[in-house]
Amino acid sequence: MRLLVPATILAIAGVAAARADQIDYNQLIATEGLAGAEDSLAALPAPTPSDDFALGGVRFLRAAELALQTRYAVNMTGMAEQSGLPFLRLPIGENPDAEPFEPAMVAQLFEDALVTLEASREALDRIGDDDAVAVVIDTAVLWFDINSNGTRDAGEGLFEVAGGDLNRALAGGFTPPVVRFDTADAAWLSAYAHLLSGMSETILALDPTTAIARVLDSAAAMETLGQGMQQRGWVTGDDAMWVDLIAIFIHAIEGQPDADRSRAAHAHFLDVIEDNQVFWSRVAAETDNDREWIPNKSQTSALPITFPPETGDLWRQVLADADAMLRGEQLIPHWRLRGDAGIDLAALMQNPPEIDIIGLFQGETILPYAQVGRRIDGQSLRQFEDLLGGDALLFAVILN
Amino acid sequence: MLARLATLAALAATPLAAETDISDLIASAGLSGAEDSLSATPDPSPSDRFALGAVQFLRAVELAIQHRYDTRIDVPLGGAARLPLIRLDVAPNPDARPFAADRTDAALDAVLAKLADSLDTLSAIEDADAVAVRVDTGALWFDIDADGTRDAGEGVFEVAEQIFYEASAPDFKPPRIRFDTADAAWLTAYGHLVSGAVQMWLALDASDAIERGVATAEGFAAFNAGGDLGWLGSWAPSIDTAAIVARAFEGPIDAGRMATAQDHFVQMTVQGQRFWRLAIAETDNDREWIPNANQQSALPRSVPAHSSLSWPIILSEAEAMLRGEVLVPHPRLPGGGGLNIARLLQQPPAVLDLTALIQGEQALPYYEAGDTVRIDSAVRFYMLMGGDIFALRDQLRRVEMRLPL
Repeated sequence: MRLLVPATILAIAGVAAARADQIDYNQLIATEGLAGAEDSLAALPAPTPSDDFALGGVRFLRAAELALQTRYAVNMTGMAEQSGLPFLRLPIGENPDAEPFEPAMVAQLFEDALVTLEASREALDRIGDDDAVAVVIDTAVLWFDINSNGTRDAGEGLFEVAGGDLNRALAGGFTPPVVRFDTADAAWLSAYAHLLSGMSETILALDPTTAIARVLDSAAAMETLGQGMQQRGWVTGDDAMWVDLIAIFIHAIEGQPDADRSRAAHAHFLDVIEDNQVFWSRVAAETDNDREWIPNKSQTSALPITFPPETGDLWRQVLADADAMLRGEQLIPHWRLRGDAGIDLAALMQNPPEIDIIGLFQGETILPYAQVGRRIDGQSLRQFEDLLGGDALLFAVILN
Repeated sequence: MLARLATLAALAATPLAAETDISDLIASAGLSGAEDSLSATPDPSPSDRFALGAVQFLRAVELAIQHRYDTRIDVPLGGAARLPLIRLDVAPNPDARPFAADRTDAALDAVLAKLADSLDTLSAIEDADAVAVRVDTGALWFDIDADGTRDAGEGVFEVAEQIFYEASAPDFKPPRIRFDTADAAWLTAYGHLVSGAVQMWLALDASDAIERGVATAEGFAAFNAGGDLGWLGSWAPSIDTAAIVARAFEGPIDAGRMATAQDHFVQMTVQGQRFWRLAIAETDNDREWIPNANQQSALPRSVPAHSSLSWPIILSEAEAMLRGEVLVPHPRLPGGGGLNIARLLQQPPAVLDLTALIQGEQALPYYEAGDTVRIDSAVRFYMLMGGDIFALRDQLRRVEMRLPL
């Protein structure tokens, strides 16, 4: 701690000294890590739009870093990674000195992420359409201090941790790109922060702690019971883990969701759309072509993937459909409702029902939200998929 | 062994019983009137007791049918239409009231009370008693509309036609049956089975599950009038049925009723074994209800000759399981032990959760080390059927035939 404070002061001093030119954000992150970089950037007395973007970006990554650190501290690995949930699915190594896991840590992880993501948006929201953001990032320098030791170790690089979704398209001689983030990308990053916040609020609305506790407690009791017996049960090992994971999901989903959290999630998802619309209008107005993150029709991405020219238009149609669905203006189809009726998602998220899996499928749970009206037809999404083929999911993750 | 010899000796020593025929009484007075009349018999013989116990049993069925007749379900329920009680949809009733869980529960309590009367009456019949009650099954009828007179569609085989398919044949003649002492044990077993099932229904609040299922089907029907829901939509009634059954099993449990149900099921297996013990000892062959290997049934459907071998074994294993003397394996829990079904039924979880039961959380408290039900019992049963899957199917049909509720 005594060493950290002077280091931070020095970093801030360095940053201030560099004000006349351009702050080397890459150097800052590479040496200080995300936590140090955040402190330095947050302490700037008169941040430029680029500084705000850098701060928002660092805080965004810091949300993931905090989650990874929480997980590493208690070896929250196998089942968490298999869950497919944000933050939990990222692969991390084994901690030989792990502390005991507590079920409430999962909810706390998402609570913490909400706070950090909000701080990220707070910085990004300061950036307006007319601001000139230019933040050049060598993505190779981005790293997560997963084991909280202050130094970059093997397995802590951004693409080592988050490369899972990108592997398919980025495989083979992949070189982390250098990207010049601009004003449009501030809206993109804000949208992504809203998306992760919406997902976090959804998870918290379902009270995962009780579900995790009851399943893990019983699994431990069954494991203990089995140790004294000659014959194990038929379901063991990975099979048992999957049974437990499915049980956790069902226990969490079933019951009465927290309405305040559900409403907060709904608001975040609407903000995802709004920020995305800002992004696409900003990016359409760009006339340069400089190491772009997500390009317009006339630009090229710094990422080693090709964005077909129609990508933006089709994705905006997907977003328009999603917006109409979130506002209840277009209804979600359900197999029990014919073509002129569907589920009002806005009503459902504003006043969520007590959920049970059977009732969701059979229809009882969603019947109070059924309405006659225009149903979402999914055509935009199909066109998007047709355009991008097997990479549609990858692009959806990138575009958010 | 000594007890069995004593029973055989007692049967052999018993003079041929005076036969009682209750056909005319039921034909004219109906089951309700017949019950009143038979209840008033001074110093009843074993045959009188059987007659009264049987009439009380049928009266319990009649109460259930009358309730069903008074209850309207306006939506298709698919497989749920085959659920106990619901499948007694015997005749259209323009004045029927919508399904209501409270009303059905009250009706089922009345059914239980009448079954208790029947079991009480039959309990006075001992193995050495000589029962001989003749019944012309053509005379049996249920007063479905409770108007006191027999109308078209109220004959026992008209009601049971869906189950007893032979009754729909044009040349079908309702058989005349002579019920004997063994059949008192059979009817007692059956009374316990139905009582246990009704208690379990009430313990699980199945009526509420049906009410919710019906309300959901009606709610969607209002949206989809005249609409085609496609392939999956055609499965809606079956999916409603699955939801009804799952809902019934999930949720709060009335532990007192569940414990009572367990007791009834145990008694069913006890009386079932008693029935086969008495039936095997019979040497006559006189208009039998369920025959032993040397007898013929008066019913126009054969009973596999090996039933008298296979059923007692199955009932014995079922009794041991229901008493918790043998345990039921759980896939997540160690071998060399299993779930004690007696404890599960006597002290069920306050709120049953199928996910937790399958995952193991709710199974764990009922796990004990000990002998488990033999997995080969089903295989052995199959082999007893001579490896003939059609014989097995016939046996299962016969079981179903015996379950009019």
